[in-house]
Amino acid sequence: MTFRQFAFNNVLRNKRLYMAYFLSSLFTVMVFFTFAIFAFHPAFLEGEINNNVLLGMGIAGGIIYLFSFFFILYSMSSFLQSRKKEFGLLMMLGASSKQIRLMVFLENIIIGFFSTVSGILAGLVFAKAILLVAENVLIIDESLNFYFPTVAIVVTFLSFILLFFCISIFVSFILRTNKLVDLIKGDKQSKGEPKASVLLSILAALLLIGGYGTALYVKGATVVFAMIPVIIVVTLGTYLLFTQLSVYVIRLLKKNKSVFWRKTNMLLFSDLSFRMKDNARTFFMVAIISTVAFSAIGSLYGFQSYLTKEMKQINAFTITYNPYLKDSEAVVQEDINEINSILQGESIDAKMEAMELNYFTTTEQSETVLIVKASDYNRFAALIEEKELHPDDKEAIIVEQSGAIISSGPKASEKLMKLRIPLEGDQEIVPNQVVETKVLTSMNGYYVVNDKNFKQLSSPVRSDHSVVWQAEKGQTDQVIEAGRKFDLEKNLQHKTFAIDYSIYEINKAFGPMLFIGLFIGIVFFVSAGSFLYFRLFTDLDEEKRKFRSIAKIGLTETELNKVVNRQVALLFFAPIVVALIHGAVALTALSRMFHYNLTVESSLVLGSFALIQVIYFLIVRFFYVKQVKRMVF
Amino acid sequence: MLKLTKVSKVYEGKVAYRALTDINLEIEKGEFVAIMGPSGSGKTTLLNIISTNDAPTSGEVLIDGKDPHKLKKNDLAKFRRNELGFIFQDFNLLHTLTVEENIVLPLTLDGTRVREMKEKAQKIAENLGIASIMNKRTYEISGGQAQRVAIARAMIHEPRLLLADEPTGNLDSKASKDVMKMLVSINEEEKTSLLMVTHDPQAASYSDRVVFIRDGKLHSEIHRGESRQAFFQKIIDMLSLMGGDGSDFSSVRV
Repeated sequence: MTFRQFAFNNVLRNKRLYMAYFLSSLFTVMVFFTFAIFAFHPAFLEGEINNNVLLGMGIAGGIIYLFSFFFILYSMSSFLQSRKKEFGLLMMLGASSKQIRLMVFLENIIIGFFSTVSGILAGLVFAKAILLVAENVLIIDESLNFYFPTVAIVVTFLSFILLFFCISIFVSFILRTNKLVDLIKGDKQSKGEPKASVLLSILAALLLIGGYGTALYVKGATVVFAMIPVIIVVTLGTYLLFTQLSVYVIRLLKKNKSVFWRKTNMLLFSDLSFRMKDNARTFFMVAIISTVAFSAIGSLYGFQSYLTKEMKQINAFTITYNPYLKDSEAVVQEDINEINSILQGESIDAKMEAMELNYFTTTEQSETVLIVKASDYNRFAALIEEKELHPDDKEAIIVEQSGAIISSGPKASEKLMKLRIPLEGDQEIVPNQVVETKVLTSMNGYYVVNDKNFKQLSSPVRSDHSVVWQAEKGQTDQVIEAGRKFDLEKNLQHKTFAIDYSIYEINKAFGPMLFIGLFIGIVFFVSAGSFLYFRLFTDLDEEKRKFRSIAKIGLTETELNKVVNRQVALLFFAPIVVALIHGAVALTALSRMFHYNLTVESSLVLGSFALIQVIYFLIVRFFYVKQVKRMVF
Repeated sequence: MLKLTKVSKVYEGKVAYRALTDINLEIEKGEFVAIMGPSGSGKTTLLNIISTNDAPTSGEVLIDGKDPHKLKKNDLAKFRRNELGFIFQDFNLLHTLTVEENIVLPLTLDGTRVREMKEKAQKIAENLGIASIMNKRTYEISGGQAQRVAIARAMIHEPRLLLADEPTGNLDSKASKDVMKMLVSINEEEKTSLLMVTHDPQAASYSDRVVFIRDGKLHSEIHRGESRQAFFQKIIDMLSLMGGDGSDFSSVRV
């Protein structure tokens, strides 16, 4: 048996031991490969998809690759941790540390090669599925057919062989061969509880409260400036939360004998504190990674729903036409005729209304304001079945600025409320109420006055046109088609606005971003799950031994279930709950930035992640309990 | 107290292996019995059957007139916890717990009140001379101390039957002597029945009666007379008779 044969057989005959590491490597390769299949699709390379999207995909690929590196490195080191005793034995038999490094290096190369190949094969199986999903999320004109991804295979293979090579060198380099006695005792010795200081525990709480407080307090554009400091503070706080505060709490619990010595609590807590150092690191990592995933997906989804919903909010009508100021009556009339003929061409049933928008000076003189006749307003309102407005004599109703406009400072209505509108004969109109409506939105808000008062106004400073069409329901496809035609006509292009078409365009442009974001988010989330899985199964043998010795003294199956259940639940939910809270705060801050309520979107995103985590927990628990029980009973 | 009638154990497999054949054994209350025999004679199988870790293929085991093998799984765990005490060759202490926590573990699982647990642990620790190491972790103490901790754990719930599997197997002769004296005093003072499997004639000489088994069958038994020294000599003679000379027996069980 040569040394190479020994290293080779060590892997092949110990399949179970190497399985976890192998599978996580395989998973990483598979993720990267599926992404590559998507990114290198001929439809993108030949098609008219814009450069920004390509750049975005390049960056996303880079992120996944970098993340793979750290993920595999982590898997590797936790795998080596569990083999300390084996290395100790080899060294006792006379293996030099150089030989051990060589062995680890060879093992890594073997596993790396096989996981790259099988990852690519597994990725091929899922290729069609991922392309189908992409096709639906993306809204692209071309369909993404299945193709044989030669480029993706070559790129993935070369990248990961390189990656494994680097990691192998890296790991065999850092594999510290400590004192022999430490290696042999390896698993028996606690790495010790991290030191918990009261001061740092308090600091952890303060940092988290401070970070959350700031994130929830700031509004509007300041959110952007507060973001970086808040992220730093909260990350630090999270780290201290797991390494200090949680240790401190567990210590307190351990000191309290009536809690610690109560039935199975002793087994649970002693184990927690025994592994606290490893646990704290895993918890921190999982919490942060999951937070990134939640926030990324939440904000992308929220942003998309913000854009589309808000667009619908401002543009209540199917089609809006606003001519340029310099356009003459004739041009306006010609445009309207053209729009009508396009609508007819697409056989769209639509009602049309037009009004003249008149701007007047007020008592303040400095600015002009829009004043709308009640009857005009009500004609528009009738189209979209909004409430009519009937202002009294010498009174004006203020229509609030649309909520979509991000601005700091006082709202438009507050300014308008202070103004007075002069009428003929030294009389004034006094604004008396504020309404919010979808009918005719304006940047700065406007007044609605009754028809009689309107006639008494001085002549307008300037006047404008607004023409709207409201199509019957269920004609979205035709309207999108009409919108495309408006967009092609030079003279209509910037004056006409078809809401359904714009939303279609937004979704189309947003699709790749959403897809990539979703993809990366899910990759992060799944790897967070794998970290937990690793944590659990690294200690499995130790756990089995422990429960077997307790079972000899007498441990019922229910008690075993209880301990294992709580242990796994704590591992799975402690970091995720933290991440969910982080994500909720981040999304709330985001919604504050846009003055837009994201509650539905955030709860949908966070809720579905929580649900996935619960399912994941149930599956892992099932197998874990089964493993432990098989050994014990 | 403990009564075995015609207990047999057959390990099924490609080639069925008969580990025990028709073992009849009775232990009185307060009696200290040692079981000896060469490697592979079935000592450990016998102990596993008595300790309910393994079920006999045929025959009956009665502990205080009850057959624990007829209990359900969960009841069996509780029975083990309440009626039996175990001492293992490799101590079987949990290294995530301190010495004190290891000792009270059986009571903790049973849900005893904290004050009661503390009192009992303190009392037993003083008796066994381990009161000074109560807050140490298991990897910070010596083998002899670890076995005393294991004895304390086995005794804390005042079991009716104490089962010891090579309690001196991992200890040097001085620590072995201490541990054996401790077991004798527990046996005399608490009137706890004691069953010990051992290779070590020195350890066996502390018992009231030594039962020899060979090839899964009872071979013979000898009772202790007045002097322990003479008893020790008789044990050595018996071992030589059974399988060549006395030095065949290593102190490490295979």
